[in-house]
Amino acid sequence: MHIKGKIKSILQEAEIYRSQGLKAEAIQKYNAALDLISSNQQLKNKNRIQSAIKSKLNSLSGGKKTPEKNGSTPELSENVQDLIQNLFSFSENKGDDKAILEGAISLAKFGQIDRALEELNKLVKKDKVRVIAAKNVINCHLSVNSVDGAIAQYREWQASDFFPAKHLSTVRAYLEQCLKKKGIIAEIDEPADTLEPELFEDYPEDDGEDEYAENANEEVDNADEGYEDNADDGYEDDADDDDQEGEFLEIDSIGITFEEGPQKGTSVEFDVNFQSGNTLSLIIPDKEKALVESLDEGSNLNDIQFFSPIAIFKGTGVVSSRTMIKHGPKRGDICLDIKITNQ
Amino acid sequence: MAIFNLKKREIECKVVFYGPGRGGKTTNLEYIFKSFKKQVAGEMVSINTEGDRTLFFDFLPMGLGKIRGCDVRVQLYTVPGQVKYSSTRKLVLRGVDGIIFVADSLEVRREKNMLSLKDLQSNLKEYGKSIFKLPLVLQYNKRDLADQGIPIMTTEQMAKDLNRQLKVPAFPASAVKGEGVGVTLKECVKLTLKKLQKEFQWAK
Ligand SMILES: Nc1nc2c(ncn2[C@@H]2O[C@H](COP(=O)(O)OP(=O)(O)OP(=O)(O)O)[C@@H](O)[C@H]2O)c(=O)[nH]1
Ligand SMILES: [Mg+2]
Repeated sequence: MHIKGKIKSILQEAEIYRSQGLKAEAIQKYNAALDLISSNQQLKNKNRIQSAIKSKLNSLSGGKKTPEKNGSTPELSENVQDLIQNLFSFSENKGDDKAILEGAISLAKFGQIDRALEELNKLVKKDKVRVIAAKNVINCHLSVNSVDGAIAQYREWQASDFFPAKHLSTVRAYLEQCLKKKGIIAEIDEPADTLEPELFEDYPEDDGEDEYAENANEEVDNADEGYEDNADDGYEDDADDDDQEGEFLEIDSIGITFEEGPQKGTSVEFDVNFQSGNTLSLIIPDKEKALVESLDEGSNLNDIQFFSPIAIFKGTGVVSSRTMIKHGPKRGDICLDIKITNQ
Repeated sequence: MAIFNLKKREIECKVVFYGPGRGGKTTNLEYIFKSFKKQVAGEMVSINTEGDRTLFFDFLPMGLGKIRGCDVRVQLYTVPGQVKYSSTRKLVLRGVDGIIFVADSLEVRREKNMLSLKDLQSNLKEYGKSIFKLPLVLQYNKRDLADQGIPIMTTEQMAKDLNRQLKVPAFPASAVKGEGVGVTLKECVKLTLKKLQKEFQWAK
């Protein structure tokens, strides 16, 4: 009786998670229920309950095989596209070219490539924003894996009468650079094969051809860091994809309580200059060197406080390297790498 | 990135609902859309996946009428909570003036809350903003699930996880029932306008 109640409550929990779309959590609970059932010999209706749970599990994992329209982003209605164009242009003067440019780039980021191209192609006709708009036209083509499209577009501009030679050569250099980055060495005047570039990885920097364009691009770059491969964005995957985030919290600074040396018993706080997984790098200015005199490679730190934006916690670490910076503006400073061993 | 028009005495600001996937951000907005008819200034736009999860964002424009002689408009957005939509999440966050962080009270989502808060912090940082300085309110959502015997965290536990350093206002809520939705929104709007008032001195 007791076991029955337990199974029932686990199943109820699983059911709630399922209804909330928390697939991974639901699957885990269903499996927990299955485990409990199979370890219980005397249970009545054992087989029936098991097969009912298994069919739930099947339907949960079956759902993930339906990527939306083979993974591409849905084409939104014109109204919604207008809304995006309007809401995601960040300039104050909504009607000006810079705002239209920003809106067009946002449309591209939201996967509305055709509409983005339509807007950008209008801007290419305008002297002040021509170069930056053209660069983003190229980005759009590359984002849908169309190297051919990008090159064809370039040639069209080349043949047109509105594209000044100066602008054309900037855009050409940009196109070459993009292709090179994707590992394609193509003579732009020759036919090229379509390869698979990384989509919208970033909108590379402007080379400062014209002041206005550069400013506009800076904004784009700011907004764009970390822009991911667009192809993933259309999937409705299983809940597992929620699990991709790194395991280590970002640590801003640490407090070390010294157990030896002149600082014995005192606690000193240091900023973390760089973090890679569980290794923290601190740069100690030359004039504060004395503070870390007692810390050598291999020194154990048994009392560290880690300060992250979310929490403070205690732990231990070991000095994994200690080097003096020999060149550059930080010459003479000490770089300490601390590996977190326990938190 | 509030837009302030001194001549017309209009102010428009952006409040974003942030938080882990499936935490109830869209449900909050739906409730607001249904229940604050007088303040709602247009249709709610949701761009979803087939499975009803937010793909790009939800959007709801509101008009709060005249506050100290100034016409105040607030645009509400939700971000997509799923980790894989990080680029759109960041784009939606751009130009934000105030944030409501919708945390999931389910015990099984504890870590997701913390990761999402961290994600918020780092996205803000990339826009040159500090999570400590922006108007921010926490909501501990899905409190109603306790009635069904589902393990949820205590609000103390959640405060410890999420609010120890931030020390911002936090409200328990059940977005499906509409409980706690209004107070969360009001507090965030209040903090946001207060901050903008400091910046723009519009209420003089
Ligand atoms: N019991 C209960 N369920 C809730 C509550 N709030 C939201 N839900 C449910 O949780 C699920 C997810 O809610 P959404 O509002 O879509 O969550 P979201 O944060 O917008 O999710 P993403 O768009 O994926 O980021 C839905 O099934 C909601 O009905 C609540 O207060 N109580
Ligand atoms: Mg949503």
